[in-house]
Amino acid sequence: MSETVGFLTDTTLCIGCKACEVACKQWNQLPDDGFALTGRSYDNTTALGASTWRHVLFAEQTSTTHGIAWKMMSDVCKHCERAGCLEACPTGAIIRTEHGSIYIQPDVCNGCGYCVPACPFGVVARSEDDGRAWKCTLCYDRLQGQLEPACAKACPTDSIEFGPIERLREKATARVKALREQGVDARLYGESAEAQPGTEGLHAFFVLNDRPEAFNLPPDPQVPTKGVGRSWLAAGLAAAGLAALAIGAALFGGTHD
Amino acid sequence: MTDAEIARAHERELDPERNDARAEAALQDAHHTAAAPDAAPIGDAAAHHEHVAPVPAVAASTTGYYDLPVVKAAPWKWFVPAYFYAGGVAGASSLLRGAALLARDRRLAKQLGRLAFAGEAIGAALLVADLGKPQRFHHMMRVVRPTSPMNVGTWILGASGLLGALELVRPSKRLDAATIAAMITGGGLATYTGVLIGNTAVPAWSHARTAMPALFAASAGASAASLLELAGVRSPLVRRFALAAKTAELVAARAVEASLGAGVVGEPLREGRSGKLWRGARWLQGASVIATVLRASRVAGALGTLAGVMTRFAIHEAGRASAADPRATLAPRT
Repeated sequence: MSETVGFLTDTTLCIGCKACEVACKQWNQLPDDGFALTGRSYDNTTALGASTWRHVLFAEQTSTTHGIAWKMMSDVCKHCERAGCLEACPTGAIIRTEHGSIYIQPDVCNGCGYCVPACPFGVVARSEDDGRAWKCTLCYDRLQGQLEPACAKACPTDSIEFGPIERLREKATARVKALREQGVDARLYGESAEAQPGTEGLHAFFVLNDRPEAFNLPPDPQVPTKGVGRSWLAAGLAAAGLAALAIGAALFGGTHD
Repeated sequence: MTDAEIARAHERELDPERNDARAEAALQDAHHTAAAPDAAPIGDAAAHHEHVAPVPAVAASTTGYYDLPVVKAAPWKWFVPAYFYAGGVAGASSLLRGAALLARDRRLAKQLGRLAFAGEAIGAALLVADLGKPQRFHHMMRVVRPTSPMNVGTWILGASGLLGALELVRPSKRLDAATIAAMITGGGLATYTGVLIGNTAVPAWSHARTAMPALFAASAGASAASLLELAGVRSPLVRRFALAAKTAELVAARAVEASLGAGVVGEPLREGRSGKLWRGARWLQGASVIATVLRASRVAGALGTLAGVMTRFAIHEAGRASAADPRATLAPRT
């Protein structure tokens, strides 16, 4: 088992150049998303998807005191410590790699699509053409060759940093402290199990300069499988109840109406 | 780079067509791309300027991000809600077959055996057809994973189908081990789908994760009983079971509504296409109960069957609406 690695994405450094999106598409040879404008600032991909594994958000905010604020963030698969997609996957196609990342094996995935609604961040998507589920691989192939992921390599401002998550955590904590001293409303998102019990911490976490909702991140994400025990118990009781109705109908009331 | 690193780079798989390193998704098929629904194409905008619609300015959202969805809806086609119905009928029929044998009604037991197997066979076909790669359906049986209701469900459906086929070949004459086993898998078949949809990040499903299995169980019973009524099966057992299951379904539907609450999470059950289907199904089921009481069994069967199908499609559609609504996803959990 090699070291657990991940991403630290710092929104205060992002300039919205989309080099990460381009580098990701180029390295992974992903199909295009259609050439269209959405009218939502410079965000023309709008969401992570089967062929968009890095997505740059452009939040435009107007305020009476500061005029217009333009906040950018490069979104990516969070590679959760407790991964909803992995636990929901019925085929075992989704695995945790030796780098601690979550990887969908394309030769195993049968395209059931259950990982798609199982992700609390809306990361995984099923390709219409291909039929299988796809998402960020943390550049598994590059890691095998001791190269950092394409997005982190291409990022010109080091808004995306790649490394062992222990080191990234220290760095992020120090960064938030420094930003706060400068008067910036900075916060960490998903850096540890204590900070985000619903996912038990992310391997790709963020320094945010706004509320998580402003970047379409759920403030309190819950991996659905954490409550599956309660659901199975409810199912057992419901099945027993249905059996009781059937047996009751047979035993009580005789053979005449 | 060290010699070892260079050697590792040379081991990389090469794409013969491109004479280039083959990347993670190089084998992903792509024929057409779907543009965002409200997007304007820019392709050759300069040449055909007059044809290009002006890009609409989208107001920034005060709470989220342009009111774009946070989570993604299940990418399932109508096959899956249709399976919820077929699988439910099969599960409840297997259970009711045991009860029929207990009441020594072999004719009814035989009819239920056929109904159960039909539900299992049609259901399995619907599920395979919904897969992105149907030829890989057997990959579902590579693992046993309790955290994946879809995996557990595949095993339940497989076992249930085998027992159902056995029953067709060699019908049970009394409540034997095979019948009891089929009753157990039938109970699982009628309820696991409620666990499956509750085990997602879709608010309208997950907030009702303990009530959904009860609704699926009751609705399965009501659907199987309604089909028997519709087919003109005259049996006091079926009539009593129909009354009980239909009433239970109405109660369980209320429990689901209560779990979702009066706020934004429960909105899909009140508004839009899913709301219409859901409310319509409740009225039809209520009318079906009255028809059963009045012994108008064919009418009761038709109403109950329609209500059962509509309930499954309402739940599926509500999931879609709920996933698309960021207000529901960002709402605090109850």
